Amino acid sequence: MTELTPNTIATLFANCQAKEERLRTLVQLSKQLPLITPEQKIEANTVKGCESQVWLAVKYDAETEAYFFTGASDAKLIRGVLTILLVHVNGLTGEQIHALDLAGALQQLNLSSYLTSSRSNGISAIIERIKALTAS
Amino acid sequence: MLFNLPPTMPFNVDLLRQHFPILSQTIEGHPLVYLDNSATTQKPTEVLTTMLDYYQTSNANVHRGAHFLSNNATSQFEQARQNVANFIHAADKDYVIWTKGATEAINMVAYGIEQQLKPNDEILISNLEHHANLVPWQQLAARTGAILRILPLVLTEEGNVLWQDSYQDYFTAHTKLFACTHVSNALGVKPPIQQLLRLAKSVNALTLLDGAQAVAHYPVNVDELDCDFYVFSGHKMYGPTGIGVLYGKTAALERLTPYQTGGEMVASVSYDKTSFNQLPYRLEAGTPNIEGAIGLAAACQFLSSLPRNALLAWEQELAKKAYHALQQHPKIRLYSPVDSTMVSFTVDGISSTDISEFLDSRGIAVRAGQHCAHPLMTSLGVHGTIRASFACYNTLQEVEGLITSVFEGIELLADD
Ligand SMILES: Cc1ncc(COP(=O)(O)O)c(C=O)c1O
Repeated sequence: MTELTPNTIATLFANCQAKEERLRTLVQLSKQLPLITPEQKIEANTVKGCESQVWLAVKYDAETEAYFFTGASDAKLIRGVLTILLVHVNGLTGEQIHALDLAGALQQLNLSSYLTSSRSNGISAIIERIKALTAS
Repeated sequence: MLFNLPPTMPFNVDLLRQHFPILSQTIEGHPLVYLDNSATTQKPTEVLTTMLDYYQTSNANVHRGAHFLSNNATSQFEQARQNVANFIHAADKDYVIWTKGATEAINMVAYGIEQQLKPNDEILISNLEHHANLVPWQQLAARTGAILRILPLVLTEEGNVLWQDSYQDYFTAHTKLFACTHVSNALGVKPPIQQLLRLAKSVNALTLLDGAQAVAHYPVNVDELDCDFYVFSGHKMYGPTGIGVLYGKTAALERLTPYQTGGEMVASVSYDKTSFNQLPYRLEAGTPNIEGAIGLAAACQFLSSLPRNALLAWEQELAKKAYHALQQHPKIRLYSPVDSTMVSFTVDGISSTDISEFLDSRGIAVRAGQHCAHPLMTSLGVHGTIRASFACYNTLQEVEGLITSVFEGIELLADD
């Protein structure tokens, strides 16, 4: 598999015509989610406000000031969305992460149904959680 | 002629669909398949034109008389009350109180009887309730010191309620009110209402049935049911949103302290005191949802003009077909009984929201999640189910499309 970057992801979705193809792409992406360890699947790491169960954990590298997230969800499509979000933020500093428009990035991929449907709170909650876990 | 057929005659679903213009749209190239009817049904043109007509020809405030339009609006509004009363076989139109929906109707009772409850009185509800028939009672209990008790109805493998003699023990001299769903919104199951009402009456408890999921499908006869209160929402039975009904026997309604006060509900007012108007107005403060009431009456008329037994048989046939097809899949677990008008199911190892998202990509609208019944889902040990709920305008092709897409979705979404 090619290494995922925001650009390669954009290309993947640019080739999708229908929603079903976007879902198939999310399923592919879900396989590349950096997974949290089973021990980290604890209440403190859950993201509240999602219809699906979602966990997020973060590691901070003091030397480079970079953050690295791992995640999990019982929903495969949410794992796909998480993969996209983590590709955008992993390895960046808090300041860089806070400067990102993650909701906008999903909208550009035509995944805005995830932001406007009943799951919207879910994805917005994940984005908020990412920002809350990183110092600006 | 499509309508005014005898109740058992078959009907033509293609003709019926022509009364629901919304159904003919496509979504990203897929024909809309609307299977979220338990959340809300679509509205026939008869309801829509009735409401438009009202605004174009008769709009005025009601009960404030003295001019032609107002008298006209008032008589349409009160005729609507009569039609809705007839629809549920209420003995008198004044047993029908307009509310904005089932939720408000239940709250009206919960607030209305508050002053009659004391610590250690008991409110009994079933374990199948929608939050609308749970949270108001829980909060009422918290305000009064009464105890909320849960009647643990036992479900069989087939999704039916199993009668247990132990149910009787939950009805005691302390039971002041028994509230139960007529049909479960999450599972489609019908509790043994008659037996339960009998137990409630044997201890002189007030009884309330939540008919939100019943009225669109089953003929409802409140007189025969003999419950004190019956509640439902217009929007789940082909009527508009923002209108619903609290039916009550006079003696039961008279026990309710109005939970809202203001205009319309008063007989006389001075700065020192107010005497309230008679029923039903006493419980209807403020200008009512006039077009909603008229629209709901039009929905009742629409349903009554159709062969209702045939409609129910049709909806059950759709659900049964879906049930038997889903049952073939080794990963699918069904929670609804085979004779309901919906299928509620989970897929082993796949989140319900993933399936519904996949169905949505093909224009198929279902509901995935906890169906406003968190405690029920917890007791079933599931995080949520997928619910495809049928209405009279759904077709066998739509069921086939649902099944094909569910199976293909499972293929795509299962872990390899
Ligand atoms: C069984 C049941 N009761 C009550 C309600 C609440 O109805 P409304 O939101 O229209 O007040 C619903 C709605 O889903 C329901 O299914």
